[in-house]
Amino acid sequence: MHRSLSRRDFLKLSAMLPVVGFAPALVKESGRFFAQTALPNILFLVFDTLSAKHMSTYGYPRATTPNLDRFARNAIVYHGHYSGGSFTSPGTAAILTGSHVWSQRAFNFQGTVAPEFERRNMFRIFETAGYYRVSYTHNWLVAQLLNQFRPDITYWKPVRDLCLTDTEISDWLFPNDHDVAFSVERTMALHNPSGAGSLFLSMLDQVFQTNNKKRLSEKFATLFPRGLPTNEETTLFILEDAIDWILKQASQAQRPFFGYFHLLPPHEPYNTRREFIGRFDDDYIEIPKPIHPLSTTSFDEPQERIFRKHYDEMVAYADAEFGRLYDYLLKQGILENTYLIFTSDHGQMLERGTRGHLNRLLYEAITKVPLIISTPGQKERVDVLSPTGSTDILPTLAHLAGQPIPSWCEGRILPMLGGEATTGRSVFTIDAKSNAKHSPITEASVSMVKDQYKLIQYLGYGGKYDDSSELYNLKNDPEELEDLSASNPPLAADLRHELLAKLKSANDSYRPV
Amino acid sequence: MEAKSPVKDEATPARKAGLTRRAPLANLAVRFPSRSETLSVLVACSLPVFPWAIFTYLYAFPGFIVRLSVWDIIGTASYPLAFALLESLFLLLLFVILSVILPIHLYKDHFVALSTVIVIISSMWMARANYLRIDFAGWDAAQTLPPLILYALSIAIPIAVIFRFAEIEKVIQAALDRVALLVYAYLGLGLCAVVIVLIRNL
Repeated sequence: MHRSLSRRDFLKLSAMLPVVGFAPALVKESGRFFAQTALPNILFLVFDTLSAKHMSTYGYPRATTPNLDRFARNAIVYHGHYSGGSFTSPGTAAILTGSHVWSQRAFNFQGTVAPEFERRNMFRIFETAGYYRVSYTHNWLVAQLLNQFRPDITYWKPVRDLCLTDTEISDWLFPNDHDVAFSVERTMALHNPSGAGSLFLSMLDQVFQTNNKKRLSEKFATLFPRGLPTNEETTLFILEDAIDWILKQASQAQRPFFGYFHLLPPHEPYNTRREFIGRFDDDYIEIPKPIHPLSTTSFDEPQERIFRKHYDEMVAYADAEFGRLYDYLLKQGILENTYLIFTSDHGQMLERGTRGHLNRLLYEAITKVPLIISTPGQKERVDVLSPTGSTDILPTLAHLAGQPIPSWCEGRILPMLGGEATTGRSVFTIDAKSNAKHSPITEASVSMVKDQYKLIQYLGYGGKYDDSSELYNLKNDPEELEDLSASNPPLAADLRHELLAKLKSANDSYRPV
Repeated sequence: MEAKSPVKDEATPARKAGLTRRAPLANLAVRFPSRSETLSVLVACSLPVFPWAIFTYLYAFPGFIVRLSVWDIIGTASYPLAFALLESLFLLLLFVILSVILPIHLYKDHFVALSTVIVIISSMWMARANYLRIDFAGWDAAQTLPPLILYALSIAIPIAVIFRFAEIEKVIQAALDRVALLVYAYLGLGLCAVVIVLIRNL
């Protein structure tokens, strides 16, 4: 039966019109509200080249990290956490892909992950979970990796945006071929032993850069008497700018958010802020260690002492800026619904005649990094002693975001965050920068930590180090001074067998058919 | 009313070169080098720039082959070659500007010889500075002056020789003609590199 629209019906329908108009916005807002309440935010901070050995949080005698000590009081502190690689590219790729370096293949200097890993990354997991994903780094090597994952990042902030100088042209001139253009730019402008790739333009560029650097250094001389923090001596920055921006992101970013921020300090050069210079002019002397035959340098103990002092001052600067961020997050109540993760991509060798991390040595100074995680609203400290690795962070975050652990992921969920502290688990770190990306790894240093023991295996370096290993008991000998490989051959052989079998299994994937 | 005096028909150097008071644009045009002169100077500019780009690239090459695919390695070679082409054109442009702004008898009349001498000698200095990674921008006046005087002398003496002995210009031109084929190959590579860079960035 047909009934015509009455005047009353018309008025009722008219009254509904505004509701219909606002419906999409209401649905969206309610979605955001439920997402906000259901899913925690994740703020992931990586401070480059931070060795756990140099943090008071991990027992270092100097008070280098008072703010992290404060943070640790309300967080889970992982005492046996190891990086996947010995420098930025492999160490960061292990974090972001949750896969071993020999699987994702970012082991060369300026290395990137294998093509199949470009969509196997942390950001993709959070994309599936409906997170707003934001990233920033000062470090060009990390920028290369983040660029590979760019399709999965909502907001990729360029390196230059939070730097005082802007030297890279690849990301704005060749955005669609960034990896290759960037590799050429960095290699031929900075790392080439034969000099810059351009005869005349490089000189013009140098004049411009030097003058710019001089002007900025003079401007900030009061705050940074040793010069400004810099990335490869070209990109000047101050950590304060990045921290300010992260504060803004933490308070204003769309919820739920996942922020990955990889900041360069305390990486060399140790251009710390004025207030930290001389802070560690004390009589602390580390236990002397013999110069290793594979060390590429041979600094003596007095030189090492100066390097350590300057490094510690830089660690204190990074810690102070972390403290500023932490206080803000506390004050704003952001930590009530946010996981705050603090870690590093690798450590720093300032012992055995070596300074730096681009070497073949895998002692604790370089492999052991901090991992401190506070859960939303956490009010007590929890200590985890069992060995964990960088590859464990991705599956843990997937678990926290309510996502399944991807089948390609090689890590485990971290203890106290859904996983269990099990004995007999092996954690690996590798340095294989001289190998071809698409070939089996034949020249490398690999360390394996299992319970209290650590095996360091050297392969393909020629002579004694063509195939040799060192074994340490980390519980009794945390400074790795007594090699047990000769005194306990059965244990050394067992661990070596396991390590080589793992490497062989990884290599088999890359053998020519 | 006094009649205007007729323009004197003196054969000044400017008038010989075709300059008149009535056609400023035409005057400008005669200051530009001819096509053959321009090509010769492009050859001179490319002669040091391309080999240097290739030389430095070969140092970097092992680092690329361990981690990149074949297409990416071609890409890594294309960027320096494309920039070498741009750098050569940039240098050529500088010399053309010099030719336009300097008195004709000082530069335009010896365009090929002077430009060649300047670019080759400057390249040697730049190659040395690049190889040793000398940051002369950070030097003070006392550090800068001696090499600057040496550089100026190394340019000025050959220029004086060119002005003194006209035969030198012919020798330079002949030398450029002989290397032209090789340099055209460089320029061809540079053009291919530009195309590859464009394809990779589409």
